[in-house]
Amino acid sequence: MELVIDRVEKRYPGGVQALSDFSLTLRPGVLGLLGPNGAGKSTLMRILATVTRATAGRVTWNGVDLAREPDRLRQVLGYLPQDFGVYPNLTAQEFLEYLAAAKGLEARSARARIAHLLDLVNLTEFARRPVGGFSGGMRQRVGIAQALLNDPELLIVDEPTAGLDPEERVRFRNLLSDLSGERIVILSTHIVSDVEATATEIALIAGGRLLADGPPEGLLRSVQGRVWEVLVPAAELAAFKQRALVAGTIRRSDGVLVRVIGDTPPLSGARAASPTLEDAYLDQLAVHRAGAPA
Amino acid sequence: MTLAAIARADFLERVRRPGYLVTLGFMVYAANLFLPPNHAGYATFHLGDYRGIYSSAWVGVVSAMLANAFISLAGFYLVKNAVERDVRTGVGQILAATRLTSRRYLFGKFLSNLAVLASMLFVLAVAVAIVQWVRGEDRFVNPLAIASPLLLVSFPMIAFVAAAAVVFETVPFLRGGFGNVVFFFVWIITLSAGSVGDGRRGLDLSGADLIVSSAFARARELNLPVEPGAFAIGFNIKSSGTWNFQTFDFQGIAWTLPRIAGRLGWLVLSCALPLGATLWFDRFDHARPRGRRRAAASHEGAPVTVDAARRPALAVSALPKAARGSGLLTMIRAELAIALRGTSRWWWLVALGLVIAGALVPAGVPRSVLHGFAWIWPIFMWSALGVRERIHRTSDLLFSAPRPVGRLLTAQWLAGFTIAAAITIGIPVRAVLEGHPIAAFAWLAGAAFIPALALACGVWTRSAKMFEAVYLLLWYAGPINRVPFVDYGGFTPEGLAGGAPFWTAAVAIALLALAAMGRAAQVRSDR
Repeated sequence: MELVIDRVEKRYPGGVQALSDFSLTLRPGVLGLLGPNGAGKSTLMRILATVTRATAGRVTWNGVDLAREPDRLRQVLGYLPQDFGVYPNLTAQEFLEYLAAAKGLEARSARARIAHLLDLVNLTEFARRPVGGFSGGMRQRVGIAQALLNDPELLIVDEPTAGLDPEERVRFRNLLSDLSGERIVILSTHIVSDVEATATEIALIAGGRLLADGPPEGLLRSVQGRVWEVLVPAAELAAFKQRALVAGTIRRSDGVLVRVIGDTPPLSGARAASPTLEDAYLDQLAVHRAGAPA
Repeated sequence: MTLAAIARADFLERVRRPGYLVTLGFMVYAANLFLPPNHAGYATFHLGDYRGIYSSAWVGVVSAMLANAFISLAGFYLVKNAVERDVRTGVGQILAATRLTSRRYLFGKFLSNLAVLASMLFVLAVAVAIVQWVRGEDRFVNPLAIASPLLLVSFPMIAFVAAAAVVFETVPFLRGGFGNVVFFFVWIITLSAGSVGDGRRGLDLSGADLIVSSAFARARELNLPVEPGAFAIGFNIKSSGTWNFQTFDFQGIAWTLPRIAGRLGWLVLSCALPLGATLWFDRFDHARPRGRRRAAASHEGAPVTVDAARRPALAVSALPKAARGSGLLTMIRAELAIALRGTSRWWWLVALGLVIAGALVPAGVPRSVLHGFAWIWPIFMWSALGVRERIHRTSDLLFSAPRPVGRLLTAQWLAGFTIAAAITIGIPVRAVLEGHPIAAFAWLAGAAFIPALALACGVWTRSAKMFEAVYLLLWYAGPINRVPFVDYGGFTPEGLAGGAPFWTAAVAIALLALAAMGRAAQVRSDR
């Protein structure tokens, strides 16, 4: 099971370059695709989900070119788009039955799976209610259920935790971890904690380019010994932010405790801190922005 | 300032779409179409065997009259989306939270509608001047003679259309497809109220009466042998051969003060309409239980929330797997459910009545009227075909499934066919009982043709309006006025004898192929 993204580019009409020379090879596990808004994550997801085509390069699923034979992947694909709608007059059960049919699943066995999936996403008691009356989080869970209808080998979830409450978010993270056996899961998000909890591999994307990829430990190593915490007087915080890469602040009675990323201690009295994935992510973005043309 | 900003933003949003250029291109084509050369196979405006020489005065009134007849209808469907766009994009929610008054908002939308339609008129005026010069009957181009009928006859008409679009978007029960149908009848009534030619029509919004009476007045001055009332407006196709008109020198409309005041009166009324529409404007408050919103609220029910007490997550690996199958029947059933769910009891009651009456009523006028209504009753179910994925934003979910073109399109077409066939089922039953198998085949072809047309229109235009407008015209000409040329369902003996059912079936197949091509392009591209 292998998904190869080979020098993929995407240019939209009007000249917007959403992806540039993007290459990545994926094998079973959870890939966390991290990047800021507008980085090209959703474009990449849509290309991988066969709903749009790359303008250059190619994507292959087990050696099959998706541009030529998209149905080879579609049969084993689960896709939760970032933005999707529902047919408001259908019940959750009917909507899922409709999508199961669209995916080419046999009606009776699909119904059995749907019942379990509704249970999985905690919607059993609302199965016969029209989805038009569902809250955003409940619709998102219907979306999660539809992505799992065909027991996908490739599961693509784009900003899946948007609209979920904290408890549901934890459930979903657990679900993703549970899914990552013999399948490829791609989780696109800008919420670092979602990736931290589930990803076995991480890819950082910004400006349509792949900045870095590898296991979370590798990314953490890149900021090892470069994260500091220092107390700064509140009045000096604005000036301090101008000259240091600030990863976070905590207000205290005696000033502001600032988390800083840098090769050297930013001020005397700064002490080294344990790096997090968010530190690594911010560091990579800062390097990218420093190198990007103004 | 606020008013100008609202109108400007809406106007810019519209004219920066590629479709706007297509519209302007069509206006250039329309100018050429409105002024056929002598010896053409069709005529657009003539008094008996006479028409005006192609001077600026004549081309001005002809283009004004035809613009009013055709641009008014197409223009309505074109601009009736200003408020709807703000609902869809969510901009309306932002505007609703500002100090912007409903009156200013709706009047701004009216001005934007008017600007779009006026820009079409302007392009038509320029194109008409060029066509006049190309035809070469009178090469003196007088801009004032071309512009005055367009300004005084067409502009008030398009202002009315621009205002009507705002009103129809605001009044709850006129917002959707029902409003589109209602406007079609308003358009028919408006045109027929004006096209008499005696110069005494008080409700001559289209200005046709004014133009026709002016042309007759000139004909009388020149002592032309033209019978009163012997005139034709539209695309009059000569059954055999070509038209060969004698021409006369038309001097234009005598713009007296009462005439100008009459036209300006329509303009004033048009400006007042959007202000009156504020009575119905809900200011993007979806919870306000009115008309269609109430219907939507009823099917959606009260917002559902989930209790915080939740059981631990199940293991996905423990779930039963679904086997592969065709799933087509399930999809058809679901497509039917999507189409029919939420329709009112009244709709069902009328549909049932049409089915029963269609089978029981004997041949004659009552049956033909019933059949006519059976062919239009489910129009909104058909018009949603091909655009539902866009409206409900389900395209990414559906187009990432296997065989998104063949499977989905087939299911949608079959659902549309089932609806058409079910509501008109009385027709083939009677046809077979009365020994007219060809009429049964014509019915079959018609039931296949309508959803195919809906899919082709929906997929390519990404809107339900094109089908609603085109099908209303076809329906008005076919089942209602029994024009053999557009007999798509076996409505006329001439159509049946002329092989219309076979043509209809062939066109249905071509339309399905067109829809499939469009859908394949949608699936491949970024939609």
